[in-house]
Amino acid sequence: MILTGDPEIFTVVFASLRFSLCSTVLAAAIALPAGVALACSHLRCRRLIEDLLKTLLALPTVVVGLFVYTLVCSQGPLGPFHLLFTPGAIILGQTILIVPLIAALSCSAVSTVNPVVRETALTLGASGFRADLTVALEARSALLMACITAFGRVIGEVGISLLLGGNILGFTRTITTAIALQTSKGEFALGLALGIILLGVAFIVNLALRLLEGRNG
Amino acid sequence: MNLEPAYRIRSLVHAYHGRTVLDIPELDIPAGEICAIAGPNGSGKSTLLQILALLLTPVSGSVLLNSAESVRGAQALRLRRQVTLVHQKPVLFSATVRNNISYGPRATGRGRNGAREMVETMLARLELTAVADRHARKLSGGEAQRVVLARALVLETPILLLDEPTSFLDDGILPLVLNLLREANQFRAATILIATHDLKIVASLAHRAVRLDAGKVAEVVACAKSPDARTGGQDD
Repeated sequence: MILTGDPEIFTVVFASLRFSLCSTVLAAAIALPAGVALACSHLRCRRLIEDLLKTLLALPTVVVGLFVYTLVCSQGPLGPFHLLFTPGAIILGQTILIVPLIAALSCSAVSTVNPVVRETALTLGASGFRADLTVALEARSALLMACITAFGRVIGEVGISLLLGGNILGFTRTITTAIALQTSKGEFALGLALGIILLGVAFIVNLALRLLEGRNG
Repeated sequence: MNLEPAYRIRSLVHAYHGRTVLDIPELDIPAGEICAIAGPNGSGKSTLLQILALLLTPVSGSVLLNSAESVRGAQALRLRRQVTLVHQKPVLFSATVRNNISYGPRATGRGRNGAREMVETMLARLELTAVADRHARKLSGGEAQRVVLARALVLETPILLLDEPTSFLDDGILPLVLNLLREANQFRAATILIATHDLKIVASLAHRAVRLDAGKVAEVVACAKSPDARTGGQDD
């Protein structure tokens, strides 16, 4: 089924990749600066914020899905945007799911950078912001790993995609929702094929990012 | 030589976890001089340099840099840009040697192109041209220390603070570095403070030596290079 190039498979794989990449990029844009800023800050409640972020890592995807559902349903605050059962709703839900993950991992990664790096940047004339950026660059491999981990989390999630996307073929059906559907119909072969593809996609993305990381030194 | 103080230190006290590590009632560092900070390990040399580099706020007391006290915001950045500190255990950024050396000029807005000539000159003077495109973390200890010194010297700040700057340098390179420091002092009137155990450096470079002991100034001695010494004078 994989080798014959079933168009349904390609459609769902493409949709999964699109949604996961979009949500990872969006979440990274929010969570990387937040994580770096938290790590470089001297806030008294920093530990508490870190603990809260780590607590949010345990959020079940269906709970996030349900929360976003209340936002995007017709009576919700985002109801006028008609996001329910669209890719936008899935991306929003997945972004909310992984923002704490990327923020927690990036904060932890930046915290391990030698504090002399920041002092050196400051003494070489960098502003506080530039010094923080320099520290973040020192931890770039770990920050990239945080994004890869987040991508792995969203491409394999099913609760958000099912609740907010509605599993509409050619529109919001992803690999995981397709697997759920095929399994419920007793179509185990297609379900397994999609499972193999899911693993393959995750492997290729990991490999590509690892190679990129190696090239950047 | 301009003998207006680069630093005016008054009632300076610093402590870590309740233990006082620095207690200096009064000390002036004249501008345009090379001043050695000597003393045994744990005498407060590195802490003093960190405070003078405006990286550490003392528990109490004041440090006036060119008659200005460090405050927050843009003025603090302007003051901080007058000083460069080379740490005792320096780190190189994860980049090439050339990018490490051009970091300061870029960070202070001189741009990569504006500073190119200075960076290339500094690479040549410290015999680093051959390794300019190598990753800085792949250098030997001596090469790394030369990069750290080049990175600080290229900025040409009025004040240069060096914490044990020659500990990894071999004897062949040491005169080269001492010459660069001497030049910075003579031609740019840079104020240079060197925390060191090395008496050779004190003797060959310093105008004045401050000996710290258990965080207190034990003595301030005018060295052979000092105009005070030439006239037989001695501070404090």
